[in-house]
Amino acid sequence: MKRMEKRGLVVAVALTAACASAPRPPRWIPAAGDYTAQSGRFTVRLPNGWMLHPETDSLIASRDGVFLQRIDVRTHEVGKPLGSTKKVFARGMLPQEAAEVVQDAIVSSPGMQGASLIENGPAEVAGRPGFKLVFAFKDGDGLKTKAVVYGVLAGDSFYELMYRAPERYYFPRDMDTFEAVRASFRISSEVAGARGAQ
Amino acid sequence: MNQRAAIVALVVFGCATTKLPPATSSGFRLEEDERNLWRQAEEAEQRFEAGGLVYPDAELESYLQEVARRLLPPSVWAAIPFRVRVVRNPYLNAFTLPNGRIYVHAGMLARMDNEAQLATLLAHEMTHATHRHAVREFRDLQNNAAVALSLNSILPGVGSVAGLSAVRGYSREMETEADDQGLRLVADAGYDVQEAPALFAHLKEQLVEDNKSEPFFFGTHPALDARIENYRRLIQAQYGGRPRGFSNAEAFLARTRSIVYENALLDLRAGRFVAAERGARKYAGMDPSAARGPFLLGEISRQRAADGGAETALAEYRRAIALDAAYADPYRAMGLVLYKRGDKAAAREAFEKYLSLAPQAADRAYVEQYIGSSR
Repeated sequence: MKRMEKRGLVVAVALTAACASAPRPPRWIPAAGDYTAQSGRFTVRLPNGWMLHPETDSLIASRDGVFLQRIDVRTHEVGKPLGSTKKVFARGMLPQEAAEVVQDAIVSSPGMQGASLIENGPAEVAGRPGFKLVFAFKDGDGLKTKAVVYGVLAGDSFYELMYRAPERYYFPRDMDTFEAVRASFRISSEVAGARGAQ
Repeated sequence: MNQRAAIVALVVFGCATTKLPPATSSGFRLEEDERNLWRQAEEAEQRFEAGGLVYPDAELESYLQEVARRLLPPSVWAAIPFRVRVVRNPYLNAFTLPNGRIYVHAGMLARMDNEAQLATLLAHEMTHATHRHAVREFRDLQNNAAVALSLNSILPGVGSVAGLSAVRGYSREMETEADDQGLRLVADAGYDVQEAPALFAHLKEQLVEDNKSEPFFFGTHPALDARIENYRRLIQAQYGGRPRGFSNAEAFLARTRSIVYENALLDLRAGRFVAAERGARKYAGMDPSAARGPFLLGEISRQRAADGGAETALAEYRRAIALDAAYADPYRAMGLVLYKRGDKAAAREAFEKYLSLAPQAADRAYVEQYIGSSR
């Protein structure tokens, strides 16, 4: 028994040492209250029981797995093409114009040409004038899916919060949670100020 | 596996033949693996339909079917039930499923000039199906995998991916076969084969614009320039002395007018402003009385946001309104340009006109905000 414990300890030390020599952020971590992006550009409060996959300037959160529901928070630089469209965000764009870029990026994505827009209107995001889009589409397996996108331009960046889930059961179930996440979303005043907040 | 065992395996299992008679020959029957490919094709077809990727335009589809029917006799149609669909995609492309479903991208259709070019494309795609390229390529892949496995045990390293690639080369052969046979069908149907290279010139133009690698339509080989050269050689050698056939430009343009407009919109959404403008101008030329032509040109100028774009956009919106005073969208777009320019009074007037013409507008909430802040 003792010998086994010793062997286990050796393995554990080896693993720890290996980790120490190549530190890597965990892929998924439990969400626990306020989360500030590694870049410091935004803060958001995530619900307990959800898991979080952080990147420098973005995050993905889910409770039951990304195929059942996911929240994405992303940032994007103005002047750079967005996804499948070559259109870009520009300083001074009206929220409706920014929404047009996002809408076009979505419907220009492979397999999304059949997506239908359900709602497009102004919305406040992080205390600034932004927009809200609601889409319905079928995923690659033909599953009816809905997505909500909130977006706002601040300085040289575009901030986007997206919630996506199968239309039946999951979408309505976690919509309030997503709205709470959206309400908690804040853009760092330092970052926005330094970048010329609008 | 030792050398002897590998050789024995190769001999015993053999290779499924990739030499299959075309569906145009008598006694054509689907083979077992081919039947599986057809089943998979049917599933893919259902996914395209369910995903809303196919244009539900029965009239256009019927026209495309009519052109396709001219290319092959009814006996072949009985073996392969061809059906041509248009896919909501602005990129120049087309592909065929083994069961004869041909998908032509809207971008491809919108870019063509006449029916002879359409026939060239359809004949090429139909040849992929009649000459059973899917199952031949499938077997080729399987055979090469088996050969590579055996070769690897005989000569280690040869059976690697690189080795596998070296023994392949069917794509080039099949694409050339589709060009050759396809052109024959086009000529036999009475179309002008001289139009074939023009189709490829459009494709090349787009590739240069997009700075992209070649789409499926060309396969992987031969490269586009070689392909154009191959067509020219074929035309000169085999059809040089013939009188030119018909191209049916007028009928083609009349039937594809709506797709030219729809595709210009897709190009605009994809931010492909040059292609969008070309499409919008083509559409405006095809239907000079339609207000949506100049409106679309205005939208391209506004969204491209280049120097002088706002002025050009306003001029196009005014042209659209002159053609159809009850068309709401140009008023909204004009309002946006004026609002951003700071001409609040004129913007408010345009927005109010827009809402009076389109009281149920989806973007009413935005517009009401603009009006409110313009008072």
